Amino acid sequence: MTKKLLPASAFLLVVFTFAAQPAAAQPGEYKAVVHHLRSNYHAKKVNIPFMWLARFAVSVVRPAGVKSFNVTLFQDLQFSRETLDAEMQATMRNSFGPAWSPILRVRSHDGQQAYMYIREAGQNLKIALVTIDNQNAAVIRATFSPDRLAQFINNPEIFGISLNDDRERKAGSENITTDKKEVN
Amino acid sequence: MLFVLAPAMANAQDARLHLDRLNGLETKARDVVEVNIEGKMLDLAKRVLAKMNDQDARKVGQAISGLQAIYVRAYNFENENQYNTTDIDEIRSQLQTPGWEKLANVRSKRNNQKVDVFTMFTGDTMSGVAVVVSDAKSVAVVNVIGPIDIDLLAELSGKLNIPKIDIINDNDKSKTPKE
Repeated sequence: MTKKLLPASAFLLVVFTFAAQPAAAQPGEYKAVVHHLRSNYHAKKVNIPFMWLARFAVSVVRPAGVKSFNVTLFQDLQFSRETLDAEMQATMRNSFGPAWSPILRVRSHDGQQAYMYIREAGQNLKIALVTIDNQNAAVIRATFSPDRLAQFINNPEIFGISLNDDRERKAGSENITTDKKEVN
Repeated sequence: MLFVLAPAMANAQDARLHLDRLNGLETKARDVVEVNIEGKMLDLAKRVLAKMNDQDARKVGQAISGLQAIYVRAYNFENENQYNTTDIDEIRSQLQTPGWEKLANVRSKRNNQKVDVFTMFTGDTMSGVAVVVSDAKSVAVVNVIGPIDIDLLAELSGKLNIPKIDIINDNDKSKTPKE
C-alpha cells in the first residue's frame, strides 16, 4: 500500500508544484488588469475546467516554445463605451512598467478592443494581451522562447510526433481532390 | 566605427515622425488601430526569421535586419469631414523637412483622397519611409525607420505575402512582346 502511495503522492506533489508555480509567479501587472476588469466593470470570471492541467502540460511540453501561460476569461462586463478605451489605456499604462512595450491597440466601433504588450525576460519573451469584445473579456499572458518558436516553425512536432506530416497529408489529399475535379 | 555609423544613426532618428500629433483624432474616431513594432518585437522577428529553414524567410530577415521601428496609426470616422484636417497636415508638414524626398503624391477629388509617400536616404540606403493616406472618412499613417534593403525585398516580391513588384529593367523592355 505504502509502495503505491509513495509514487502517487510524489506525482501529485510534482503536478501541484508545477501547477501552482505560474500562479505564484504571476506578475503584478496581470493581477492589476484582472482586478481592474473585475472591480470597475463588475466582470464575472469564467471558470475554465482543467486549466491547471493545461498549464502543467504546456510547462512540460512547451509547444511552439511556450513555457507558461495564464488565461482569465470574464463575462457580463458593464462599462461605458465612451470611456472604456481611455480607462483601459490608463490601466495598462499604470499596470505595465517601463520594461513592457505597447505594440498593439485596436478600438473598433462594434465594441471590440485589444491591447498587447511585450517584454524581454532573459532569453524569453513575455506577451500580455487583453481583449474586450462587447460584454466579454480575456486577459492572456504567455512566456515563450523565440528560438524554440523558430525551431517549431521549422519542424513542428510535439513529443516527437510531427505535425508537418499531417499537414502534408492533408495538402496531398487536397491536391488529389482538385486533380479529380480537374479530370471531371 | 562609431564615426562611420553616426551619420546613418542620426538620419534614422530623423525618420521618426511625431505621431502624437494625431492624438486629437482619437476622440472623434470610430475605429482606431495603433501598432508600434520596435526594439524587442523587431529583434524577435529577426531572431525567428534568421533561424528559419526557408530561404525566402531568411531573406526577409536579412532585408529587415537594420530596421529600427515600424509605426502605424489608422483612424476611421463615422461621417465625412469629421476630423480636423490640420492634425494630418501637421504630419505632412513634418515631411517637408530636409532629408525627406517625395516619392509619390496622389490627389483625388473623389472623397478628397490624398496619398503621400516619402522616403529618406542615407547614401544609397533607404533609411526611412513615411506613407500618409487621408480621405473624407479615414486617416492612416505608416512610418518605417531604419535601413531597408529594397533590392532584396523586390527579389522576394510575390512571395511570403509580399506584394508583387514589377520592376522592368531597360534590358527587359526589349523582351516585352509588342501588342
